[in-house]
This record gives sequence, C-alpha cells and structure tokens, in this order.
Amino acid sequence: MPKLVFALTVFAGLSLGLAAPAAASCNEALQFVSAVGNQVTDTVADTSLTAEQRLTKFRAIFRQNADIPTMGRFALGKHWSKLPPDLHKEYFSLLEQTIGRVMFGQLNDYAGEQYSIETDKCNPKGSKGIEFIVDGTVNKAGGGKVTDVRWWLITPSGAMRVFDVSIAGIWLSQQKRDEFDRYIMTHGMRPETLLDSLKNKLGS
Amino acid sequence: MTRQDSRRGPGARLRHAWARASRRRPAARPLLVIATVVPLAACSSLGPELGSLDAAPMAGPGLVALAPSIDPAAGTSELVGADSDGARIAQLYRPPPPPSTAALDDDRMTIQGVAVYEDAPAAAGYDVTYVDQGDPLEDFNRRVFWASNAIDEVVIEPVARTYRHLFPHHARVAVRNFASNLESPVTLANDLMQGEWERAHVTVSRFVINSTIGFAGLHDAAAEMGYEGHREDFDQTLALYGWHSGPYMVVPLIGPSTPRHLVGRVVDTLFHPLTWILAGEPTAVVLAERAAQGIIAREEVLDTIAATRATSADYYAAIQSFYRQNRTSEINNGELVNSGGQGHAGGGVALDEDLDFNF
Repeated sequence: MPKLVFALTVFAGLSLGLAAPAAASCNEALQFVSAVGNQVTDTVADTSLTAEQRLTKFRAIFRQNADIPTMGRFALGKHWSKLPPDLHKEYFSLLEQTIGRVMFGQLNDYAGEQYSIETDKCNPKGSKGIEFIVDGTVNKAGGGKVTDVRWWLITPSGAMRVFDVSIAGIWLSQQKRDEFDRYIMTHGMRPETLLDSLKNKLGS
Repeated sequence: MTRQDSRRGPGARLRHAWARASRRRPAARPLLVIATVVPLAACSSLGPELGSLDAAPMAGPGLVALAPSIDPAAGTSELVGADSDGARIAQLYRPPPPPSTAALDDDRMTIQGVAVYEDAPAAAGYDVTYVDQGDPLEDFNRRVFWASNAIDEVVIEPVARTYRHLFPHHARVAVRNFASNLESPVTLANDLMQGEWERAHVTVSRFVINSTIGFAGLHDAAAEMGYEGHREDFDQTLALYGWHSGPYMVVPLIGPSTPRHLVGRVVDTLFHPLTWILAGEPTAVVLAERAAQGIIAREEVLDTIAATRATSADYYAAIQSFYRQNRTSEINNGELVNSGGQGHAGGGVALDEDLDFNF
C-alpha cells in the first residue's frame, strides 16, 4: 500500500507539473486586440514614413500576430490537399502579401486624421474555447465611429493569433477563400496555377 | 458546404448535391423586366435547366462522364454534375480526338453511376467549365464587369484621386457627412418598415442634430453625442420580409447587384429628398448629381479597390465576395448570427460553429 500511495503521489505531481496551459480567455483576447490595434493605428498614421514604408511596417505587424498557415489552409479549403508540400511556404508568403496589402489599403482609406481602434466586446466562438470574436470600431480622434472592425482570434497551440479580420462586414480570409476557389475551379483545378497568378500580380 | 456534407464520402456528397441541383428552375426573365419595379418578377430565381443522368458508365481508362444528350459520333460530350459542396455544376467537354489514358484514381467523382476523373480533364486538355448556381449569369456578368472596370480605371478612379488630392481630408469628410445626412429619410423609412423603432429614433435624432448644430449636415455632431449612424435600404427590408435576392448580377454603371437590390434602389429613390428637389431640373443636372455621388463613394474606397485589383487572382470573384459579405452584414445589422446547425452564416462565420482545423 505505501508503494501504491507513493506511486500515486508521484503520478499526481508529474501531472500537475505537466498540466496543460490554462485556456485563453476573453480578457486576453481583448488585451491582445488592444495591443495590436495600437500598433496598427500608429503605423498607418505615421506621416514621417512613406506609404511603402508604412506598408512594410504594417506587414511586419501582421506577420507577427496572424496565424498565416491556418489562414492559408482555410483560404484554399478543399484544394489544400492538392497543393504540393514544397509549395506551402511560397503560398503562405504570397497570401501574407495579398491580405496584408488589402488590409493596409482599407485602413489607409481611413487615414488623414488620428483615429483609434477600440474594442467593445468579446464573444467566445465554437465549443472548444480556442476561438474568440472581438468586436471593435475604428473611431475618429474627435469622437464618432469610422467603421466597424471585428477580429477572429484563435489559440490552437496556446498563443493568441489573428485568424481573420472583418472591416465593414467583410472577412478577408473568407474573401480570399471565395476568390481562390473560383480561380482554381476555372483553371484546371490545380492550385499551382493560383500561385503563378499571385506571383504575376504581386510582381507587377 | 454544410457540416453534414463534410461527413459524407465524396461519392455520396456528389449524389446528394446532384439531387439538390436537379430541381427544375423557372426560365430566366428578360433583364428589362427584372429592372422594373415588379418585385415578384425581380425576385425570380434563375438557373440552368438540369436533367438527370441515366447513361451507363463507359469502362476503361480516361473515363469521361456522359449525359443522355451525348452524341459520341459528334466527338463532343456534355456532363452536368456537381462538385462536393453542391454549389457548382461541372460541364465537361470532350473534344476529338479520343479521351486520355489517365488511370482511375481516388479523385474520381461518381454521379449516378457515371464516373468523372477530376484530374483527367486538365491532364488530357479538356475544357472544364463550372457554373456557380449563385451566379448563373456569370458569362454576361464578367463581360459587364470588365467593361465597367475599364471605365473605372480610365475615368472614374482618376477623377476620384484628383478629388482626394485637391480637397483636404476634413473637406471630404464634410461632403460625405452632408450626403449621408440627406439620405436620412431613406434610412428612416426603412427603419420604420422593418419595425426598428429604436434605430428610427436614432435616425431622427441624428437628422435633427446634424441639420441644426451640424451646419446642415456638414458636421456629424450627433456621433459625438453618442448617436452613431447606420444605413438601411429597401433591399434589406425586402430581405427581412423573406424575399429571395435572386441571382448575382453586374449592372452597367451600378456594379454588383441582385434583382432584389435593384428593386430596392428604385424604391429608395422615392424616399430620397434630392429626387423631388431635382424633379423639374434638366437631365444634365440630375446626371451631374448622380456622378458627384458616385465620385464621393468611389473616393472612400480608392486604396481598398487599388490593393484588391493589384493582388487578386480573380478580381471579379473578389468583388463578388465583397458585395455578398457586405450585403449579408448590412442585412444582419452587423451582428454575427448562429447557424443553428444549418451551415455557415453571415459570410462563413457563425458563433456556434468550431473552425475545422483539419483542412
């Protein structure tokens, strides 16, 4: 019996030591969005930088805080399994450039005065406790809303990351998914043709 | 694709999708009738005539799916089937000479006993045309879209950029506020028709405050007092009453739309004060006012459209997705909805659904 108690005690101790990380919460989601939102607004409104410099800085923030591989797999949807593994990295890079530019373009359309990204509320999404939707607004410095913005955050491996952003009701990853699906279906159902097209577009 | 669909095998998904796709749809009505204020006609569904497939499968490698209408002697074939999400019909054309020798693989789709090799068409040089059931006018739409895009790139965008360059930000915001204030009667009428009493109260408050303290609408004083603006239109009202949107269409000079939205735009002009103020004015004045409205709206999305155009593999599909998502969001007043197990809602996002990480 003492041996059993000892074994159980050791097992319990090991279990506590190896306990899974605490589930993310809405508070963390709100803090994450506030922090990233401040970086974004500071970058877009920084008049000491050229437009290209601001875009470069914005894309760095995006890369650091977005789960681009998951976004990428979602955007390809059912075509993901057909993309050769040696093209995954290139695809993620192209996707990051595409979404980053469109998102920056949308925010740049609101530039011209100081504005802030405020958070209003957080809704847990789904049943697993790893997804959150944070509602917010882009507000003018003097008061008044410019537009609604919504953040879809995921924590599949613990760290909070952006999966998608909705500006004025349009989810960008969803938009890419619609667009990529259409393109692949009308180009021989080969995802490689999509990569060729994106490379041509981004290179021009 | 619904969650139920995702649990079926490929063949079963296709049969299920095909059964759904085989419903007969009313014949298309002329666009002229659709464009008039005839709600029922405008909201008719359009779609291709679909029949069933009774042909026995052809054995052998490089199998090509066949429909009863095939005439093998003519060297062409036509298949109407559906892919795994049931949203598209595949039309497969086989040009002479004989089919490829592609071997069977796991990607084949089975449609009522007739097999199609998903990869064979590309490998053998077949043309594969997909018809989106939500966009049955796609051929026509794309032509109008690209013509409109050309006009936009050459005329409208440069004028909008000049407007942005010449007028400082605050001046442009003031113009936008003025135009938005003038639309208040449209929003109010639709708030009331939708039974949104609180939102109607906000609309009235905003109109009174902005028209007085806000210098005839140039300054959005109401927003600073906590009365945030919103937009309602008759398309949203019809959606609330259960009217189907009808097929996606691209209308010259208007852009993305649906028959229901077109009806909505016509009705909304009756509530807009400028319609009555300019009623007796020459056509040139009315057109100038419309053009000005267009330039104001175009300036608001200059960089968004430029970035989208520069980075999209399929710009037409990108704009279509923008339109559909924006309309859904407007109809839901920006609220996310639960799918209730019915699949994706609100542009693919539903609060009660888990993201499937196993893509």
